[in-house]
Amino acid sequence: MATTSPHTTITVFETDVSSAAAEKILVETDKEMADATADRLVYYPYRVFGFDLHAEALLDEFDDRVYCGVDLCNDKEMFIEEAPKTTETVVDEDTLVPPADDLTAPERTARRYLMNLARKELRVGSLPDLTVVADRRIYRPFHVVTCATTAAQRLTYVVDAVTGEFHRVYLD
Amino acid sequence: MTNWTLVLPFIGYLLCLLGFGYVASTKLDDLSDYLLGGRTIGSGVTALTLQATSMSGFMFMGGPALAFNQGLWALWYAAGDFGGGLVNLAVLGRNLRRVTEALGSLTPIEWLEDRYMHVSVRIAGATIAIVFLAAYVFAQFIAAGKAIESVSGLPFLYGLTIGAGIIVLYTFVGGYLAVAWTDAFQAIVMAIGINIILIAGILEVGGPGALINELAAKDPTYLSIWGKGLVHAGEWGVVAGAVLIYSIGYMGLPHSVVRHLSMKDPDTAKGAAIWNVFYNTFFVYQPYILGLVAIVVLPNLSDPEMAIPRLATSLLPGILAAVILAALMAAVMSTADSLLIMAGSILARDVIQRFAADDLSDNQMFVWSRLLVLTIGVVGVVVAAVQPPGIFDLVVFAFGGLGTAFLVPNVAGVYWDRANWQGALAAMIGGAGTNIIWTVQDLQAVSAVHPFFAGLIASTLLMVVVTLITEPPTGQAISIVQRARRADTAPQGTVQQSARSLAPEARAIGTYLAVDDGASPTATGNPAVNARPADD
Repeated sequence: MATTSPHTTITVFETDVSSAAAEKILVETDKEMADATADRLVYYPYRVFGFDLHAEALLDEFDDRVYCGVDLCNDKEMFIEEAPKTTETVVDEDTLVPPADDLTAPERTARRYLMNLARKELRVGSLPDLTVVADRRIYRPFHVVTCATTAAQRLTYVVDAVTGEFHRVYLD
Repeated sequence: MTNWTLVLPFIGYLLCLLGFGYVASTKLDDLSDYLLGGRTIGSGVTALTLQATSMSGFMFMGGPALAFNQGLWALWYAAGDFGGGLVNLAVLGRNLRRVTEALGSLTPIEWLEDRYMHVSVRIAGATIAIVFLAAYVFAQFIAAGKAIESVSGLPFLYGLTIGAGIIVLYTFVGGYLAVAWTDAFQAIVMAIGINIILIAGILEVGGPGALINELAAKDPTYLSIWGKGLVHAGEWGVVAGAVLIYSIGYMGLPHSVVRHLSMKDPDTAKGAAIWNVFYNTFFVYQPYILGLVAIVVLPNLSDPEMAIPRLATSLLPGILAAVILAALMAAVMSTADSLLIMAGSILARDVIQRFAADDLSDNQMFVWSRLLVLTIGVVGVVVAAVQPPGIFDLVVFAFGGLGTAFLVPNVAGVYWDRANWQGALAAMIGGAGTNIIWTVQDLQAVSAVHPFFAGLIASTLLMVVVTLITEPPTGQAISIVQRARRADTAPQGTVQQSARSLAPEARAIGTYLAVDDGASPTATGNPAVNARPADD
């Protein structure tokens, strides 16, 4: 008898890239990419923070609401260009990529990242002021796509269902 | 005596830049716009910005000086510079990229720590990077000082102090002065300017043929591949160092992948590579050729690093020369500012934030990176004031140090599974240290071996010997490296369009899929495998 995993409701980034589109993106990258099949969708966890940023530079001042996601599997930061558009969805728990259990301070990670970015990009004159205005766990859907090449290779890729960007997955 | 026909356009240009920056800042009013400026204003601008922030002072002053002193021999460096990216990509880049992506590493220093799994590798790597970046910054200070000297007639020391002061101030509070548009604008003015000077110079000497004849008449060895007076005759160690230094040195240049998530149509910088080739074609060789032109046109030039400024002021109308020199000054500021920011970020992210103290406040972090910038600024001015080294020598020293520190640990990390952290640490410190000693003691003169080449040999020996007398590496990074190395090569177009910033996600998803498929999880050091979502 088939068993089913429990389901759960999660918040996900709004998805623009369908499985068919993900396949098409990969096939169009190279003439040698013969075929692509989107096998499944997995959900990758981020802690997403919204900050009100105030910074001052020479003859200039910045007030901005910025968003930063912290990858909960690797503790790596990601700048989010604008307020994330999200939807609630019910998914199979088995499709959730489990986060690391030793990430203790994602807010500090996000704050320091934005601090560095502000210093680097805005050349601010003093320590930027960052106030947390939002804090959510949001999942980013990735299509897992198996590709076949004209040389009969089988390669696995993940395609970001939000942006269509992709990356190879190295499996045994 | 101050030449106001040069000074006024020079200042006018910089003021226009200020206005241009201000207008741009009204269009770019949030962090996204600044951060992703390259996306919103096009891949061409991104490419030109990168060029403006990586060349400038060296190309305008260091390259021509080398050609002025050594003749055609200088082109060995240009060949390495032009082909550097290609060599990197073709020889080592492909496997290195595959392995670093499999490990989920986003920066070169991060990759070394992920591969060798020891914090000392990261600390040593970051420290070495900061030291050699500082040397690169010193070169920009000297270039800025000389640009101001050539335009204003002020003594070099005044020019240096003013130049370094402006650069540090710009780094601290530049704000909208530093937007991508202004960097790209410098790159365009520099590229056009240098070609205008080149055309004027070639016309002055009577054409390319006349240039060759004049050089041969002055000293036929100017046209030799072994340098003026055949000083490098048969010194293949020196030639190899000259060709390889940029192609390999770039590998050690710290850089990071900015991860971002766009809700709009993603526009990756696909055209950037084309713009880079275009820019290189019209920029890389010209400064060296101008050094050759200066041998003929300015035979009594006392400071070869002033070849381009002197050619500009003697061959072009005052306003045009001033504009080109102002663009040089602005590009030098941009380069130095980017390097200083990079050094501050490495200190903050790779040393202090990573290892020093979890409870360090944001303010303390900010102060630390500021102090580093200030220290580099003060030391740079003192060094340049007391005994100014040549710009070319400084840049070669910086690239050589980075290359000798990082090449061997990178190659061994990919191809030699036995390589361990002790070996990597010894290779980094030994390679960079040898490069420093070789340069300071001028051992090239007695050994006929380029400092860069000597550093590589020392680094290789230390990597092998120290690795073999210490314990083999443990941990799972090796199995990931092996897996990535064994993996089939993906089609080239797919590789090129792959989003490098997704490497960490791809690694974690790979681990998750391995577990989910019931396979024994290939341990990756990623603790995500067995955890469940935690409450936020």
